[in-house]
Amino acid sequence: MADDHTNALEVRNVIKVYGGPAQGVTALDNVSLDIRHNEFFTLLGPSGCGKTTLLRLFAGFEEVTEGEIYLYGEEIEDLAPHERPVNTVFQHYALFPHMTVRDNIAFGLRRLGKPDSEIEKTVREMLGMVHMEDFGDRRPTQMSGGQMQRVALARALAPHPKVLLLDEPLSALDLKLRQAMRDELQRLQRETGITFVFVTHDQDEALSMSDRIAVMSNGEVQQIGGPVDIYKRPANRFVADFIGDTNLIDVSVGARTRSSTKFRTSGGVELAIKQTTEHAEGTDLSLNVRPENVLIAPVGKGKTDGTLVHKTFLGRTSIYTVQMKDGTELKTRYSNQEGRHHQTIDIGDKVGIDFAPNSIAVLTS
Amino acid sequence: MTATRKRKASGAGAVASFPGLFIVAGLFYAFLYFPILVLVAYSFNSGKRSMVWKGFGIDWYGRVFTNDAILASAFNSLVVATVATILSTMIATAGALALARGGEFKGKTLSVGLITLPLVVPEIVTAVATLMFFASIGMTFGLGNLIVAHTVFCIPFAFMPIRARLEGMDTTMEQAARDLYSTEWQAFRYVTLPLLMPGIIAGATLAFVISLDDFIISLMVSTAGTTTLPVYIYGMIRQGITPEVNAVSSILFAISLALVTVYWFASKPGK
Amino acid sequence: MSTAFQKDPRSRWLALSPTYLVIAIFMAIPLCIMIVISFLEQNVYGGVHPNFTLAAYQQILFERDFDDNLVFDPAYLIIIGRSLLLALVATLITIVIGFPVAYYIVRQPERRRNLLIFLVTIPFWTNLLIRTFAWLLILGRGGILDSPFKWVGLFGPDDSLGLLYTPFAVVLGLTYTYLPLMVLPIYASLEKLDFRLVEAAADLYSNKWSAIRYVVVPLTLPGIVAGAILVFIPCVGNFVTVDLLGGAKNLMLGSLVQFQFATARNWPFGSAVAVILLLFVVSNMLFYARINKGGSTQGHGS
Repeated sequence: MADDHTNALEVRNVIKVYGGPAQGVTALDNVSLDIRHNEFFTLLGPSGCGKTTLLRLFAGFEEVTEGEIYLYGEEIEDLAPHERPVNTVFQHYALFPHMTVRDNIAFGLRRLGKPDSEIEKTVREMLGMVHMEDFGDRRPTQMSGGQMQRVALARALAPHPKVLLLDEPLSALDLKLRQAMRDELQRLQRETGITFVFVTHDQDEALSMSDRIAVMSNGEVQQIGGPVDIYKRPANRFVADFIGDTNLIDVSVGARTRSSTKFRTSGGVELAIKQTTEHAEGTDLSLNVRPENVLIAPVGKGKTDGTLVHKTFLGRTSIYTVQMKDGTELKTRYSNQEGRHHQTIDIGDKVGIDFAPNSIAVLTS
Repeated sequence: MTATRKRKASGAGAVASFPGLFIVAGLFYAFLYFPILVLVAYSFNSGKRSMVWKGFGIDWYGRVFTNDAILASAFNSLVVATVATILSTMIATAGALALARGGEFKGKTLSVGLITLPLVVPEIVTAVATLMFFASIGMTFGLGNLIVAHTVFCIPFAFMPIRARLEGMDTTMEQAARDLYSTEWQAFRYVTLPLLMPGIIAGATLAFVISLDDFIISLMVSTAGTTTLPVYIYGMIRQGITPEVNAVSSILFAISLALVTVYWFASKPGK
Repeated sequence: MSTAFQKDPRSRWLALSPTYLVIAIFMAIPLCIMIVISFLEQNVYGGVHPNFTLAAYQQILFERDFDDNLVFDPAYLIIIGRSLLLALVATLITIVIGFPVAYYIVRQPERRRNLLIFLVTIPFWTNLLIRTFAWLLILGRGGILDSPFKWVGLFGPDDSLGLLYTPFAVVLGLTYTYLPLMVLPIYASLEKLDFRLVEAAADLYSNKWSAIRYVVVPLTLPGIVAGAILVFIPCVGNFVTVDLLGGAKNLMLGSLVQFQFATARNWPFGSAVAVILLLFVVSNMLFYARINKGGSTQGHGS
């Protein structure tokens, strides 16, 4: 195996255009990123953002229009899929319906010309690893979605690829199974020590499993970072909006002091925040504040006052919507733990609006 | 920009693609159409011997239209095909409605099997069986015998597109019609039948083509006065190939081609 | 809501009755009569005597010599063997050509795919006699294939490649006639094939040939078998191609049947040969039904 200083995958200025150069559709627009050895890396974004295209470029199902891809230092973007030591777990499993589970798992090893004894041993190991020991002689068509998922994993891991590519593998499963499979995937990644590249549009999946996440949109990488980083310090409005619930307030920079800044909304509400900014007075920007960091205070005790306009009960938490004087609505999330005072507030009541310290991110784009 | 990129290896993006396959496909289509092109080309040969090119001419087409025997057999073919098409299309439409709208019932598989029987049995077997049957019961209605024989093997060809159309049709429209105070008959007359029409046209066209082109059954069943065009052409070929055969064959081919095109467009879904 | 056909079985059967009547009377009964006639005595003037005999079937294997003894005569077995062999060769050739062609068509964009399929079906719907006759112009003495040799001066006016009236001409004609019947079912099963499985094979270290060998062919086998049966059955029973391109030396089952009725006037023997043809058809259909049944349990739940 390569040493830890080498990246598992390096993407350099990759462009992918479908169709002719003249009227083609750009799926990837100058993407560069590194995926480290032995990490659980997630490509996250809405459909059409280019995440699946990038994965298919890794697998070799598509050809780059421009740019290079390196696998442990070796340039691979022009190699055929069967020439690359990477394997894929397909979205709808793509298990061979005319073969038993055993033959499915042995398929890659057979094509690689491994000796029968080794194939048999590996298949048994893989069946054990995904807890499918008793299913070796079944056909995939007689199994449930979760079982097919495990076989697909075993099949892709059997040849011991340098990188495992997972194309939204959990999207076809129901909620309970999906959550169980998250833990399973993390366990497999740790056990095998193989670099996982995981594609999903589901932010919960991405946040809960990944070492690092690349958030993509419109064929470009918006931000790369750890789950906490991306949630707390989104690089731009797209990332802030796409990951979790949030409030985005359009403001312009007002008077600044040494330790605080006044931001003015378009409707004229002034918010004095204990936070410095390097942006000049009059600059237009957005404030990002998560609902759990918006606090309801007594009238006059917050950064500004407002009115409660909507309550949504969600079980563990409730979402309260408060309206500032200029009409801007902010969502605030509260735990429904017993004895909290705000449970007595009703729609139409005047409230103060405050923010948790250091919870506001300033976004310029 | 694609052109400027230098590929270092080939293979990425080309999963199970065989670029040379278009040559095989090209040869296949050439093989399929070469004989027909030869036939049509020779039909415009002005020379007397069919295989020696003497120059372009349409003389032989003129000869076809003044040959009484050809015209008589063509007339027979038209009569047989027209009547057999009408009969087989009506029978097939009723059958298809019962099978596609009758739900699951005992004998459904048997019924479909019976309808497709004429497709399964080799034509020569059907031909001699029909011949012996007509002889045994002493049925000698001239063209009537031919019409009956043709109706039988036209039924499955008329049946298939009609049933396909019915099964692709949304039954909610019939339900909507019934909801809007139609009687069962009105729902059929004003909703089902108009929607089914392309399928019926496709089926009728197919039946007509099959009847017009049939040779083997007609050969065995027809008698001296009831020769159809393909049977007459066969006789001409047996006697020695003349350019007249080329011309009349080309005409028959053109008619089939036109009808098949009608069928193709009528049977396209979503119209 | 149910239709009148569902509510009332009588109306259902009323609608089906013309079909039953016509096909039963003019197809099923004639076939039964034919089977009966194959066991009756020949009337030399055409028709039959109503006496039971196995003579027609005996005639396939034996011949009566001058002393009225039965002597084994392989002449008709040779014809049966030739029918099966030439039909088999033609079927194999159509598979070898038909599969790549169907594969090519299925990989095209949809609009072009429809056009290409239309072009495959056209010859199938046009007159078999005419299409076969066209090969006479190509293979025959002084035909298209002879002409280059004549221009070059290699052939005199009476020389010919002599391709017509050979087994080669018969196989060529059969292949030409029934090729569309092979392309269409293979195309239909390729169209249903999930090409992501081919990607999965490539991902698991298959080059494109192994992907075809281990994934595409096994999964389209039902289409290939259907095509093989659709081609094989009419090949065995073919009359037109054999008659026009094979001549008297290359008699096959279909032309043998026709000969018994048109020329030899031996109804029982002709019927017996037709019954043998029918048996080939039935056994092929049973074989196909069995294969399909196996396939459907495999595909269950997918």
